[in-house]
This record gives sequence, C-alpha cells and structure tokens, in this order.
Amino acid sequence: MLDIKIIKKLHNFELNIEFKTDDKLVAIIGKSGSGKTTILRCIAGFEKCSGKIKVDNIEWINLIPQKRDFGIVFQNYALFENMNIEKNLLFAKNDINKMNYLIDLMELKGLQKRYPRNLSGGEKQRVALARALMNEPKVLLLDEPFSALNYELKNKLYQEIETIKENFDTQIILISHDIAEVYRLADKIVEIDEGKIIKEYRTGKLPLGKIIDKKDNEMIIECDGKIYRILK
Amino acid sequence: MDITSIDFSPFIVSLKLAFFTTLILFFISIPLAYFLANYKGKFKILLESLFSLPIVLPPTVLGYYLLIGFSKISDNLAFTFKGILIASIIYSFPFMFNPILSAIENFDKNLIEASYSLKKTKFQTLKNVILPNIKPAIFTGIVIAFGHTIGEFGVVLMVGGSIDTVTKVASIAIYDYTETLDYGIANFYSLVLLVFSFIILFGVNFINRRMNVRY
Repeated sequence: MLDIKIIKKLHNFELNIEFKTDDKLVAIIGKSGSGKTTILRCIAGFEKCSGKIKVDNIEWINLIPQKRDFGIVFQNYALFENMNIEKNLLFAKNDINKMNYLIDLMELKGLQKRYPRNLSGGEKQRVALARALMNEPKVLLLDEPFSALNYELKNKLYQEIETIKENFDTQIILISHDIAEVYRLADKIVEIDEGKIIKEYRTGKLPLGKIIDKKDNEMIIECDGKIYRILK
Repeated sequence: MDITSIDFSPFIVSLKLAFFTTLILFFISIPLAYFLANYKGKFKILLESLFSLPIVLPPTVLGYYLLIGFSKISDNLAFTFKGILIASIIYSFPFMFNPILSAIENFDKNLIEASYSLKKTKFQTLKNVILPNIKPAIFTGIVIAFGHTIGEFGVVLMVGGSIDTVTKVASIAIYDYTETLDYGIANFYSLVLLVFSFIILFGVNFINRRMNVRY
C-alpha cells in the first residue's frame, strides 16, 4: 500500500500532491515540468521533501535512498558501462539463481557477457528492469522508461511490464506523458499539472493490441481483429 | 661530448621525485575531489580557489613560504629530498586533482543514484561505479602530475637548492650547466626533457582517445 503526500517548493510553483493506493501500477502523467519526475525523486529519497511517504505502513520520508526498498529505471537506463550485463545484475545482489531467473524472464539469454554499449535501446531497457528487480523491491519506479523507443519496442516492453506485474509482489509507479501508454499499462492514473493533482481515476483493462491512431483525446487500438476506440 | 661521462643522477632524482609525488597525489586527490564534488556549502568556491592556487602562484612565492614554514617546523626539511617532495606535492596537486574533480562533477548522476537504489553505500559507489568510469581522467591526472613534477624548477630550487644526488633535479642541472657555459651537456639534458615532455602529452592523448572509445 502506497500512502503518499509530497510537499516541495519548486522553481515556479509548489509541488503538493497526495494519493493513496494499493493498485499494482500507478501512472503519474502530466506535461513537461509539471513535477512528475520530482515526485519520483522524492519517493526514491534523491530529493528532500516534506509530507509522508508510507510504503506498507513504513515511513520512508527521513530514510536515505539505500534504506528505502525500491528499484528504479531511468530514461537513460543508467547501466554501469564498466560491467557486463551479468555483473550489472550481480552488483545489485550477488544471487546467481535470481540473475538467471531474471535473464530468462526478460529474454536476455545470450547477452550476459555483453557490455551495455553493445546493446540496443530495448535490450538496455530490459537489463535496467532486470537489475531493478534483483532485490525484489516493494516499489518499482519507472521514469519515462519507454520514451526513447519506437512503437515496436514499446509493445514488446509493455509485455515485460505485464510479466513483472504478474510475477512480482511490487507496486509500480510509472511516470509518463504518453496517454496511450498509460491507458495500456496502468490500473490507476494520477494526472498532475503545476504540482497539483487535477484528476485521479482508475482504468479499465485495455487489450494489448496494436495502436493504429493516437490523438490528444482518443486512440484507436486493434486487437484480435477488433477495433477499439479509447477516449481520454 | 662523451655520453659515458654524463652524470645521470639529476634524471634519477627527477624520476624518483616524480614517482613519489604522483603516488602520494593519487591517494590524496581522489578522496578530496570526491568530497569537493559533493560539497554544497558556502566555502566551495574558496576551497576550489585554494586547491587550484599552485597553478597561478609563482613557484618562487610557494618556495619562499615553504622555506619559511619548514624552518619553523623542523631542521630536516629544507634542502632535503623530503622537503622537495612536500613542495612538489603542493605544487603539482592541481594537475592531478582538477581532472579528477571535473570528471566526478560531470559524472552521470543517474548512475550514482542507480547504485544507491541497489543499496550500495557512497564508498561502494565510488569504488565500483565512479572510479572505473573515470579512468581516462585519473590517467590524465597521473601522467600530467608526473610530467609536471619532472619539469619543476623554481620551487625545487628555492626549497632544495642544488645538492648532487639529493635535490639536484634535471631542470636545475640544465640551469647549472648553462651557468657554467657547458652547453653540450645542457643541450643533452634539454633534449631529453623535451622528448620526455612530448611523449607524455602524446601518451595522454593517445590513451585517452582509446579509453574514451572503450568506455
């Protein structure tokens, strides 16, 4: 259960948000500069803030990042260039069985000895997800992890997120500005603007089909020969 | 000029001085650079200026203050190898420190935060994530500090004088031989230092380029 209230003075406005959820995947959406990433950084402990960050009734607000039980995937992947894939994962936790399990789960077999510089964007992303899951964190933070990828790769990684939701007892917070992506993955959406929550709603389960068209207020998805029109 | 008659001891003193200076600076610079890169207090600019002071300070000024300081601390520092070693460490400090500081300051913060998210301490992060990824800067610092110490003149002359096999380094030997109009040997010493300096810079550029490709 996440019980969050974050108050922090930013450059142009005050970030002041509060939400409580036990949904598996919560997406925080909003325009650039609306405070999305700051929320994630406060939950991780990379930035100081006031309020409360309670995860399963444990207060994190005064804890250093190392004492908070979370994993994170950054937009730029943040893989350690001096370590191959295997070492990136084992650096998180020296557990070969867990590493092999995640290598299988994330379909990274055969890439263990490669260095991050020799991987494609999608492969890097899957390694970053696997590394973040090595410690089986209570919370997984995803900071616009798909923004640099093309549609095909995104679709593949959406499947990985579904796999994570099924296989791990972890709550995921996804930061995104892609409404289609969020509708596809999230159980709950928190929409923010200038540091305030402007909308908070749950989503119905959408089919993992192919996005045919995407506009500001709607998107068209094709799945098993059927066409779905999803309105914002 | 008969090459067998040339006294190589100034080169040996220079190399010994450069080796120990570089070694000590290596261990001093990394923790200090890490500290200053993460320090956000009001003394940051003051500390940065202080640490870079030897770059602009005339060597004779540094030498003068060290000489005065040594005379107050101990009788066994001025005109000894230990004395010129301390002077060299101070004088060459920014040449090792600045490249490492710059590399740590510009290091991708996400990598550090990713390491913290994996429950690694600051020390583990420095050792396993930061240092292996700033090897080119560390290498540059080592080579430039070594080369700079080899070329030291003013501060060594002020603090150490020109005592054979103890404080007489190659650059001071060139000065001495020129003073006594022994241009043949002065020329040989100068040529060796010129070639050495070029090799140092060529080596830094060559290896940095290769390391940058690798990392």
